[in-house]
Amino acid sequence: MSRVLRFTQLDLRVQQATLKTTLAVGALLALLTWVTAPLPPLIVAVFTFAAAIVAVEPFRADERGRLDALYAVLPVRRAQVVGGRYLTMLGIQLLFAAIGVLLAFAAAAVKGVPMDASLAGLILSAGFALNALILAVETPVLFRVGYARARWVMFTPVLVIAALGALANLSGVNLTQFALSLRAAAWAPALLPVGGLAVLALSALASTRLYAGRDL
Amino acid sequence: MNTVTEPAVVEVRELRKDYGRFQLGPLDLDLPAGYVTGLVGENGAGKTTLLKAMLGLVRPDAGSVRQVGDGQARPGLDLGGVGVVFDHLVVIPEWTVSQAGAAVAPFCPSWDAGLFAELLTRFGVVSGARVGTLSRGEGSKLSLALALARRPRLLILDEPTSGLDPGARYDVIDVFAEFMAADDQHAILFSTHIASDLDRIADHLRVLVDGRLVESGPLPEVLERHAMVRGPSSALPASARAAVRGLRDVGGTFDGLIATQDTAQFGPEVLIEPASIDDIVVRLSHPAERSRA
Repeated sequence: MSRVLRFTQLDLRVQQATLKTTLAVGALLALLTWVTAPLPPLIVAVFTFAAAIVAVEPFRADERGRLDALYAVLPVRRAQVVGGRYLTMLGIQLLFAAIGVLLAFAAAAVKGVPMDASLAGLILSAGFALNALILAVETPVLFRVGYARARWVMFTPVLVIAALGALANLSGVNLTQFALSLRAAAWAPALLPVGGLAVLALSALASTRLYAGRDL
Repeated sequence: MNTVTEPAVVEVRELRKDYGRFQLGPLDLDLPAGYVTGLVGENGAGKTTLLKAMLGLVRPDAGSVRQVGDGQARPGLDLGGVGVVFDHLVVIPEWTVSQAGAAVAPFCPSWDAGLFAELLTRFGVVSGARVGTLSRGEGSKLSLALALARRPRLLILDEPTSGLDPGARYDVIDVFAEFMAADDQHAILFSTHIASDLDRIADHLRVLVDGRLVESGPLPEVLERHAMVRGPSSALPASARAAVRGLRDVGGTFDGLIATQDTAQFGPEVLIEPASIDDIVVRLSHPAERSRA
């Protein structure tokens, strides 16, 4: 197993230690969306958005356990730590997306409403792309200064969404129409995740440089 | 200052780190193979910064750290063969002791699970205990077990005995002695402010003051190079004052540290005694005269 994957495994072990809390929050989230979501695919949206918040949890654990010092004295290079961390975040995204999809299908079945699979797919793709954008901005900062000094970065999801909204408003783009056009476009479900991955790859390069220069 | 003649396992050259208000180095440091090197200095002298720079936790502004082995020197430390103990635990509090071992093990090709379990038993650390519930001393022992179970050739220890009671400190020092006895290529860099630990185990001493190495060499030689002088102030000739480091001239008596070669400057009323590690560290850290009538 490569050291990058080994690091991801270590990351997941760390997350496993706080699994009870994550599960409790997840269950609460599932219950709330189950009850309140008018359309089952919206459950996917909620879980996709939640993934962006949970994905930075490993950085909080780094600080709590002073794990950066542990990584530094293990035979694993900082670039491999960065690579492993991005894989962890990707894994969290996929896990939350999977849970969201499963819950959406379950909710549709239980409530007896049709499940709009194409809408769910679009939400999944667009949500992943948006999350990728959010994490691409957050992660290099977290690698550079650590979780405690980068608390402000937790506002990134809101800021990115607000910025995109403002940008759309200024450029006269109607977001509802844009979403509908995305739904109509066959390329969107495939291309949005690819774009998200590309942004994450660029972000990983930046993180590698920034983490390499950080004093731990 | 570096007077080591034995082959080194680690060579530090012209290392410098500038934090603005504090500067480490530039300094040279060799860690001789087969020996325990004690690194002493007061709080803030730069001991932890030096260790971190050697380990790559902080990026030096200049200089190099090279590991020597098989007749070759390679840049940086081969962390596969280095065990590190910090003065704090570097595992998450939610893990159990055995989970901490299981987390580290996959990265360490030489990980010895049997040794890890044996050390925990020897130190009285329960493997099922949550790390967050361990006392400071138990945490130090866990750190040590994690470092030693990697079967390292070099141990880098930052205050490994702080938080331990005297009995536990003795036990830990015994473990270091066993580590050294196991292979003549093993080496330890032991940073501490507890001089009595070094009295028991150190072969070499490095004294760090304000980020610079001011004394270095085999421990007996370092101790022989210095002596403590004390006596009535009237017996301290003006010409000899400059030779006394950390001179305290209080209430009609004086004391301080001198170089052994300067003993001839003092008369028979002055008592000259062997210096301890503490004497050397304290007086070299505060060389200026402190006087009060």
